[in-house]
Amino acid sequence: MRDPLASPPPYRAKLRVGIVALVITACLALLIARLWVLQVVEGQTYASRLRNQTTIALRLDGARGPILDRNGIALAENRATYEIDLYLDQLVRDYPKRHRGRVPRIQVERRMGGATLLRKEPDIYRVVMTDLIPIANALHLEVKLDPKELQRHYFTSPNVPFRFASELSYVTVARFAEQNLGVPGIDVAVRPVRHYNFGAFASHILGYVGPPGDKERIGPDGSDLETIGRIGVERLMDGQLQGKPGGRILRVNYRGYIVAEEGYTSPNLGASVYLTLDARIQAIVQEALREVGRGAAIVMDPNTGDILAMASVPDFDPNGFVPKISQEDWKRLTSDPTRPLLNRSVSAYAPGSTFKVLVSLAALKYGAITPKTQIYSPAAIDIGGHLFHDWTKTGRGNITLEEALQYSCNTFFYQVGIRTGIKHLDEMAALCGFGEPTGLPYLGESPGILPGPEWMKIHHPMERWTTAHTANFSIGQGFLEVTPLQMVLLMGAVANGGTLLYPRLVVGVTDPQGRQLASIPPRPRADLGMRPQDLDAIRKGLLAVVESGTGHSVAIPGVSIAGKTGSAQAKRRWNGKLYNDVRAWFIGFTPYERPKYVVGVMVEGGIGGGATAGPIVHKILEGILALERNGTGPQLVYFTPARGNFNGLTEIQPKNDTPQPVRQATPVREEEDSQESSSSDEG
Amino acid sequence: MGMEENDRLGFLTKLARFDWSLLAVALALSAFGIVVVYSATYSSESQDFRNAAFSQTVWLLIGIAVFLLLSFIDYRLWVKWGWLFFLASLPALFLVLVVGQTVNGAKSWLRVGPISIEPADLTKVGFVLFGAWWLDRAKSRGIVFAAPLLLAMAIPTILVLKQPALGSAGVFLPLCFAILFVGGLKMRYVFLGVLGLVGVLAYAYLGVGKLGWDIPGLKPYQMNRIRTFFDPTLDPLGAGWTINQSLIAIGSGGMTGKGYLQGTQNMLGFLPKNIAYNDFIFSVVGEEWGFFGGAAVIVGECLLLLLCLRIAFGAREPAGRAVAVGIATILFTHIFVNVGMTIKVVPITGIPLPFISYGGTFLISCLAGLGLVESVWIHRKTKETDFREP
Repeated sequence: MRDPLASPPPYRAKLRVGIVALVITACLALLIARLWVLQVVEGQTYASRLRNQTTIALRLDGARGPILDRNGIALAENRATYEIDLYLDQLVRDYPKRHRGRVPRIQVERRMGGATLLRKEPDIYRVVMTDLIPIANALHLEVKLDPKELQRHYFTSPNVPFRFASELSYVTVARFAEQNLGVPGIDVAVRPVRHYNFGAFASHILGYVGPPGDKERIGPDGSDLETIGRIGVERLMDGQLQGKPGGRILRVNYRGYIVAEEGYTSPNLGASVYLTLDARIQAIVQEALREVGRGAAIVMDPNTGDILAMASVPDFDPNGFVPKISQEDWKRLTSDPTRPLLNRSVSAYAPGSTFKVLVSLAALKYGAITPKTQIYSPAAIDIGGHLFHDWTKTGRGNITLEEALQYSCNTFFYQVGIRTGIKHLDEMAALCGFGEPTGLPYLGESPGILPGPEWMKIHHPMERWTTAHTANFSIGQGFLEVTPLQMVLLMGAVANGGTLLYPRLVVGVTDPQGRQLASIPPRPRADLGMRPQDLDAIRKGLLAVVESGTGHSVAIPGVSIAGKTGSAQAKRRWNGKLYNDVRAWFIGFTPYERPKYVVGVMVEGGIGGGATAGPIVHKILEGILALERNGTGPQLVYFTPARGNFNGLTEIQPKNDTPQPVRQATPVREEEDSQESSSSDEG
Repeated sequence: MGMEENDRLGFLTKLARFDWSLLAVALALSAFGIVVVYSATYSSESQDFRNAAFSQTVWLLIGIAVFLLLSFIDYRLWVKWGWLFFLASLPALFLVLVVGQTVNGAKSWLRVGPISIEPADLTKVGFVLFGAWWLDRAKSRGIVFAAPLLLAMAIPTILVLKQPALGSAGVFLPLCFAILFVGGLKMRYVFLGVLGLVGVLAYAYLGVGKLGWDIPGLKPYQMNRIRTFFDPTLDPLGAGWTINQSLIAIGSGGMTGKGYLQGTQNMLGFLPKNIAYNDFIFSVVGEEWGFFGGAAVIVGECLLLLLCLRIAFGAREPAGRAVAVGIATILFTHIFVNVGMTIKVVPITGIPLPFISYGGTFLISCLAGLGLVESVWIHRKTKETDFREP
């Protein structure tokens, strides 16, 4: 035994070993707990961070869905173009490997959250040029790239390919493939682009597409958009027409080199949009309307509100907007004084005598007259100290509504309008949808102007509404402005027995496999609340217009056609001179008993409703009847744009020193017939 | 001394007293390590990396031989010359500062012929033997007992810090504490030590972590590592890269992992290849084997440590107890710091994970250490050996 004094003091050694074991176990348990938090509690976060850093997504554009007419004739489809695409992100990522060097960088100013920052970014222009020049030289392509635009594209949408050259010839494509010129990131791509099969055909309705602006770049599903509908159905139905983009998911390593393709989603075609248009009728209408320099024509089904045809002259070829309209073309379209981009079918004009249909409805509905009421209608009557003329110098004597409509007697309607009162006239006009859009968005629709005492207070506070204004209103002159579509809808209500409809342009939407995604039913807007015998009186008057009245030019033997002519005075300043620019109207329906078509034509710079608009309607109806008889329409061809002109303007010789205002509150005499229009001046 | 008597135990007797569980757990961990090393290196472009799993297998076989050899030699032979082993390992630490190979910014490796050895590993074992030797010599359990050990600890700590290898240097302090503690250091000094430890932790967490103080004497890159430990987003592409990628690797592994050879972090190079198979092997384990795999490794290592401590528990003699606890502490510190740094529990330092990480000399060192512990078990005093006590 050792000397007890020399031995270390006793202690509980086993206990201390136990404590060490405890401490060690506790520490390792701590690690396991931390591991649990990291892997199980927060695992998803790290998994998504891993995905973000190891994959990049490249976008493949989806093709736009077609727009078809009611019978399935495709009006807008896609055609293939070959182009060279630059995948900027990929070029930058592959740069170090391919060129054995660092990616060149430049200082770029970026606005981020209000502050301007200087950032070092890859010099995308130099990166692209390094790879692109040899390829372009081999293909004999000129390289014209804007470094700024390239840098901006790389910053805003690095995953969307940058289009270097589009509309490549087949020879170029073949050479590219033969010589195997591509490098990863520079590819020849077949891209679907919009194509309007019949050129300048229903172009105001179809609209056109274009590249999105900076703020429109992101679609509702969060994907980058390649093209968007700018106007018309393309715009209205853009959400349905947009193809679903596909994509490639590429796996990258820590340096950003692409090591593998991880996933591929094929792009999809967008949905098909079926229109109410009948391409054959549209062709008939466009052919008929081409003769005039400026005008609009609409054919509508009065039972459903379906727009069967809608044309406006002059027009344009929407293919010129694909893929992007040139500066010159855009300038030419927008600076043309005849305004080819204007959709005249939904633009506002003075309706002239066609508006007497509305005045008749109001007068009968509110009991100002009955169908039998006879009103003495001389050549002129005195209203508020001014003489208001009829367009005949003889007057009509005692006539009823029917005859007044047939001959478009102004003095009759001055009196009826005043009897009815502006309040009731406005009420009826509002019920019929005047003064507000009919509900076809993105067609450039004007609400028109529905004037009255209240309107006067707002827009002409220095003037008061007088009976003279009411008289003028009663023959569709003065401040009143309506669109051809509004008039067609009104005539539709007269034709179908008193129900005002909403116009319908889109029948439905189907997916590429033909399954119906949506269908849009016809929609009534208002019941006019007319007694049948009252409506009948108006219809009889309208029938007489074509049979033996002002609208005889429309008549087709054996076909019952009803309608109303109109010739609205308007003045236009052009090249510094003042001209009469008469708006010639005809709005009618056929057949009389069971109407199937409402046709409306408005011509600017016409002579008069019967003389100018009537023959066009006649032609349209003849075409439609032939179509019904034979079942085949005209050959659908590629339409060249209809040119506009200012034919039909008659210069106004200034009589006194003070020039007349273009639109005046003082009575403007309505001229219904061409023969007299030039001979009579207003007093 | 009893050494001569015990060594008279016949080989068969020793074999009968052999604790197979220690070797079994160590072998299981090492085998798993080779499997993971393969996964961490198979996709590499460099032949050297792709040979790693095979090399590690060879090292393991050598390690097993060393383990068995040391098991059957009475550890008291080494303890008797413990001071000499310790002193002899110090020149190597000087030498490495002069002619060492620089790996990852630290001069830690000596090239001896075809192999590289890390002298710090030898010094750690040397210090255990030295501690055990001193335990037998020191009469008090107060200052006189503690001071020489603390001083002795300071020498390798400072030398290793000079390399600079923060992780390796950090092993000596807990090692010294553990030997003093189980060696019977008076409780008041133990409390003093614990107090000091709490102070250092508070300083590190509050002072360095929250208030941004600098630690005197650290190189800027070491300070950066510590700063990014507290906030890895400070420099995600620079100093924070490794820890961020390690967290992404382990975190994305989830509960069950992505499967063997399926870890992308290592394959795509986000986890740098030159550390994925050694210092950051646990990130590969976490990504491919998930929480189950990671936890299993920790539990396995823990089991090994507890087996060592069981031997310390059974040792009836302070030197043997010190050897077992000392080796266990060295292993524990490596495990805790290594696993801890991959999951952001401690700052990143370059020290490997025992039995799992690639590295020949370290694997052999670990197995040698375990051999010493095994020897403590075989040569422990029991009833059958008691009669030989003088």
